[in-house]
Amino acid sequence: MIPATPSLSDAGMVFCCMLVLLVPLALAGIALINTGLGRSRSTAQSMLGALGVMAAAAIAYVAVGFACEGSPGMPEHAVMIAGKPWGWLGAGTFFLRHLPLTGSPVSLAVLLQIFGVALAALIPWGAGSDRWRLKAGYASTVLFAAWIYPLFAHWVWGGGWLAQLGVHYGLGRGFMDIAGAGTMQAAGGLTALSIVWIVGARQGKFIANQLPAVFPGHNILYVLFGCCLTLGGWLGLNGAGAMLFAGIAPGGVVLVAVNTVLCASGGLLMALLVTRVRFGKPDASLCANGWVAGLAASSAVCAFVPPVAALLVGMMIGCAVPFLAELLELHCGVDDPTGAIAVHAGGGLWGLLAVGFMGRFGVPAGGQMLAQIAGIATLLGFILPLAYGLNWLLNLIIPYRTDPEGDRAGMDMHELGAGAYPEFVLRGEDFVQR
Amino acid sequence: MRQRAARRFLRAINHLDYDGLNAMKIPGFMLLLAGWGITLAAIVLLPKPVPRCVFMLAGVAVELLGLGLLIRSQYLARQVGL
Repeated sequence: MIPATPSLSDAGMVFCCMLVLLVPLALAGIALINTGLGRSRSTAQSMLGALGVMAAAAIAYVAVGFACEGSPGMPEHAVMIAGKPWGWLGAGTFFLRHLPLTGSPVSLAVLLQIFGVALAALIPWGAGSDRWRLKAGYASTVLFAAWIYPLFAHWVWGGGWLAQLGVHYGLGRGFMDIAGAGTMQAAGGLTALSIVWIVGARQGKFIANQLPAVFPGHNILYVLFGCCLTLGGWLGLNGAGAMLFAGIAPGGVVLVAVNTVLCASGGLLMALLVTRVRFGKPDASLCANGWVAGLAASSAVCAFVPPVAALLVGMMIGCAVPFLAELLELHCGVDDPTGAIAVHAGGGLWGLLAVGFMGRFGVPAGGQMLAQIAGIATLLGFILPLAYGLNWLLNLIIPYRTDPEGDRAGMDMHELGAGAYPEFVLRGEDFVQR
Repeated sequence: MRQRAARRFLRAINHLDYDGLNAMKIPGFMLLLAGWGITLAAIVLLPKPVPRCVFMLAGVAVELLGLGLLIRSQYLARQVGL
C-alpha cells in the first residue's frame, strides 16, 4: 500500500467527498437485502437492527476504532522483527481528538470508514437474522467496530505490517485492498461465519436425516431494489477508496466505476445462467447474491485491472456463489439466511486473490501475489479466530440466541411486540413448533 | 457382568465421541493460527522467492485444514443436535 496519505486538490477533495456521501446507499441496499431475504415475522426487527447496527458501528468507530486504526504517518505501536518494524496497532486519540475534520484526506478516510465499518457490521447481522437478539447484535457490532475492524484496517490502510510488506520484504506494493474487499467484505463475512456458528441454526432448519428446510425470503422486491441501491453505494465506496487508499487521480475513477459495474454485471448474469441451467428457471435471490458478490470482489480489483479482467472476475464469482451457498447449507450445516458468508467472504477473498494475478501494479506479479496471499492468510488465520473468540466470550455475558418463545413467535412479536405487517394474516405454520 | 461391561464400553465410546466432537473445534482454531504463523515465518525467514512461496502456500493449506475441521465439527454437532 502507499506509505503516506495522498494529497488532494480542492476539486479532488469535493469530488471525493461526493463519492463518500454515496456510500450510505450501499448500507440501505444491504439492509433491504437482509430484510427481504429474511422471514416476514422478523422484518421489523431486522430493519431496526440494521439501523441500530449502523449507529453502534459509527459511534464505536469514532470513539475507539479510529484511534486503534490510525493512518500512515500517525503514531503506532510496532514490534521489531528481524530488524524491521511491524506496526500492529494505531496509537491515536479517542473520539477523533486532535484530528481536524476539514476535508483533508485523513478526515475523508474517517468519514468513508464510518460508513464502511457499518457496512461490514451489517453482514453478520444479516447472517444471524431471525434468531439473533437485538442487544447482542449491537454489543457484537461494538466489538467489531472498535476492535476487529480497526486492527485489520491498521495493518492494511494505517501503515501497518501488511501495507509495508512491499517496502520491507519486496512483496510488490504490499497487500492491496483499495476499497475494503478484505477489511470490510471478507472480515464482515468471516465474522458472520463465527456468528452463525455461535447462534446456531433457525429452529426447524436442520432435521436429522432430511434435507435442510427451505425458508424463502419474504419479499424479493426489497432484495432486488436493495441490489440497485448497492450499485450506487459501491461506486462511491470504490471511487473514494481508490482516491484515498491508492492515490488514484480523480480521472482514474472512471475506470474504477466501469470495472465496478462490469464486476456486478458479470456476477449477476453468471448466477442467472447457473441457476437457469440447474433449476430450470433463474433464482432471483441467488442472482442478487451474484450481483453483490461481484460488487464485493470489485472492491479489490476495480482500479488495477482492465475492464475485461473485471468482467471475468465478476463472472467467476457469480458462477461460484450458488454452489458456495449450497455447499455451506447442505454440506457444512451453516444456516445463513442471506447468503452473506458466500457473498461477502467468498467475493472479498476472491477479489483479493484475483488482483494478485490480474492486477497491473508495475511491479513483479509474483511478489504482489505473495502479498495478497499473506493478507488472505491473515483474514483466515487471525481475523476468523479473533472474531469467533471475542464473540464466544461476549455470548457468555449477553446470550446471542433468542429463547424458544422468540423461535416460535418470530423476532418482531418477541422483541418489538408488534409485527411489520399488522394488516396481513400470518400463516399458521409460522407459529407451529418445528 | 458382560452386559455391564458392554454398557460401560458404549458409554465410554459415546463420551469420547461427544468430547471428540467439541474438542475438534480447538485443534481447528489452532491449525488456523498455526497456518498464519507459517505464512508469517516464511515472509520473515525465507528471502528466496521459491521457498518463501512454497511455505506460504503450505501455511494457507494448514489454514484450510483447520477451517475444514471447524466446519466438520459444527456439522457433526448439528447432526447429533448439540
